[in-house]
Amino acid sequence: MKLLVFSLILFSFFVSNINSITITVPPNSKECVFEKIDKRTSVTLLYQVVSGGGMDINPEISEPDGRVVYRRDREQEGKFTFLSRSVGMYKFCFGNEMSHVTSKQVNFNIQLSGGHSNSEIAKKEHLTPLENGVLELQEQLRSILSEQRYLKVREHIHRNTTESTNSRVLWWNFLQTFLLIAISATQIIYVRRIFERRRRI
Amino acid sequence: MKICLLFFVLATLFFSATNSFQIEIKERQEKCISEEIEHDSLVTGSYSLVEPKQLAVDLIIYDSKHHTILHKHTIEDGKFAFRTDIHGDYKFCFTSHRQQAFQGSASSQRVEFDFKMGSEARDYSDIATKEHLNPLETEIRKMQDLVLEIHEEILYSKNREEAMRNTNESTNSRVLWFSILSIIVLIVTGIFQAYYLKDYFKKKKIL
Repeated sequence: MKLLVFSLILFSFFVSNINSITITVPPNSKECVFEKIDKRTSVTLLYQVVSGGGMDINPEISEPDGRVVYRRDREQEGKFTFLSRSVGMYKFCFGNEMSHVTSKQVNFNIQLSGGHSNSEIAKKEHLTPLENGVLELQEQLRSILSEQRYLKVREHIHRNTTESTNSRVLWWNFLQTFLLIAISATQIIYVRRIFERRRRI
Repeated sequence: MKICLLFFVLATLFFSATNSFQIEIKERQEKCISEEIEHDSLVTGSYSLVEPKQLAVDLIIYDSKHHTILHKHTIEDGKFAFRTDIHGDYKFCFTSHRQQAFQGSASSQRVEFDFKMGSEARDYSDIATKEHLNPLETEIRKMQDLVLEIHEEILYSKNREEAMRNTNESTNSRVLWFSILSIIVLIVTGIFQAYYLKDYFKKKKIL
């Protein structure tokens, strides 16, 4: 009995999707992804803006009947978990309405855990401690891999920012030096002109 | 024992399930999903058009250098599999074109798509029969592959972190030296200006 309960708990922590995908949202529009979800499933949406403009996005999750479960304005990244109440097509949208020029790239992952498919396996009571241990270990490894992939995307974003900072430092400094010299030359020429004009009068 | 076996078969199926999702494509529109994939990694996936079938959709898969790996015209239901050569962002693009619309004149089509990569893409029931592994050994084998994958990705992250550290240190020293340069240029131009104008006025016999 204990093993049965334990295996039930184990399976309800199973995370279905460890891969996140990246989509591009053009300016002034909303991109949506649909997924069929069973009821009483724990759904987690993890998202982060990879690149584009102000690095913000408007996420929105809607239930099959149209009710909006989650909506945020101008977030760079976020995580939201909810329990599905009904079976059907859930809509996960990312809106880029705030930008008129730049498109945004959003990396997100929809993870599902729990759900009805547990019931068949839960009926099997012949789980030795070894088998249980192996399955639990495997589940932990999968969640490590999932976190790692999330961090990989974050690292990619940071690296983009760093490289942009590095090149900005270079080019803007060149511009600054050039402007300094140009302004001082302009000043000298201007002062000379003033005095030359004066002399003519 | 038989029940155990059944359980493990079911568990394998359950663990290897990835949920597919649907995207909506309008007429003459291209929608791409990209994913960063390691080199020498197996990628498998499946696609299907969701009823009602209204627009003709092509699937094109690009690798990180934007070469076409796969181009399937007017897809119905199908699967694909390929092995990656290089690391990078792989794009799975669905394009719709007007010419061969199925029926009706609706303007959008839903496509169901699903893909797996790396250790998840491997068929463990196949490996189990080939290497004569019992269910427990199959699960352990899966874990071995997972651990290898985690290890590879950590090594890769380590390299990238090192590159980023170099960039950061370069930025740090650039900020310092360029600021010093700016100050020197400012002082030099200031002094130059002062002397030049003084000289100029002396020449023009104003001073």
